[in-house]
Amino acid sequence: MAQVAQMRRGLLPYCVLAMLRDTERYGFDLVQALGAVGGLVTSQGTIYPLLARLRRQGLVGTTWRESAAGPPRRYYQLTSAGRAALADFAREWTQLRDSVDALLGTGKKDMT
Amino acid sequence: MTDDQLAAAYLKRLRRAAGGLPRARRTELLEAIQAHIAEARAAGAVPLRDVLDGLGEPEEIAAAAGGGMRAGAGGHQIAAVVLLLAGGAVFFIGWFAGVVLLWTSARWRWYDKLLGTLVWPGGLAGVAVYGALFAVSSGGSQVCSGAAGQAATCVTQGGGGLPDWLRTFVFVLILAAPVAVAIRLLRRARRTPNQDEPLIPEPAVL
Repeated sequence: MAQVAQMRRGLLPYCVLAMLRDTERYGFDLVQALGAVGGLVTSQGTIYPLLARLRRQGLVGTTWRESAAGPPRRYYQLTSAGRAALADFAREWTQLRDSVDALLGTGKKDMT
Repeated sequence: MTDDQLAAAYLKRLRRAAGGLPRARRTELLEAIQAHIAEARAAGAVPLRDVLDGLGEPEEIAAAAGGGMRAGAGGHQIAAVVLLLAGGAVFFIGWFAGVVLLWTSARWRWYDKLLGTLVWPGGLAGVAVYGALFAVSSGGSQVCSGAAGQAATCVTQGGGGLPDWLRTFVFVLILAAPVAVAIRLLRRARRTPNQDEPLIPEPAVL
């Protein structure tokens, strides 16, 4: 299902932003948390290039923090631009999901 | 392999696969993956092999970083193809160098590498050697009969019982095969970078 892989790929950046909505996370922590959701990530390693890209696009910021165990960790947090992008997406997604569910007859039948 | 060796081999593969990235981005990617491996090992909950499996193929990660591989065949790939084709002329050493370059390039899949190695060992020089052997072992020989003083009648016998046109055809085919493989390898080297599109479009819709 190449299309599903494509969809997953398109949604993943927003899922990463959503993971950072309430708390900052370091890379390993974020990847673990995403992996636990299931069905989202097939190759965890590809999250890191994605994080780098989100940083270049100004949607996440990074901070190095000392770690109690081992070397410093790079923490990722949402920027205000990232927060706005996430909010936009959440709105669009809710609408899109409801529409598709209605067409598939799997979700709420009553759209009004 | 120890865990240290396993991790080092993985990172080496990634470094090579990410060779086409700008230096800063490649360093950032390698550091991130290295940190991930270190964290996972410190946590110790999962065998390293499973951690690396979870990360995915280094080539896939490099491709997700965008332009994991340089567009177009690089010097490494062109040298490999030229040596495979013509390197056999120098006592086959050139051809062996071509094989080494072929297998050390991240730009080709294993089946392309196998094809490049097997068709044909020695390249074009190899074909010349096989051709000579073929001609000697089964080439036409003249059988003459007739008593001394008489005009001898000579009969040319076709080699190996094959008609001449078929032998020519087979020879041309054998000669054309490595050239075709070389063209295929060059095309594949060029096409590989475009097989995986970036993870998210850039500039993103985001």
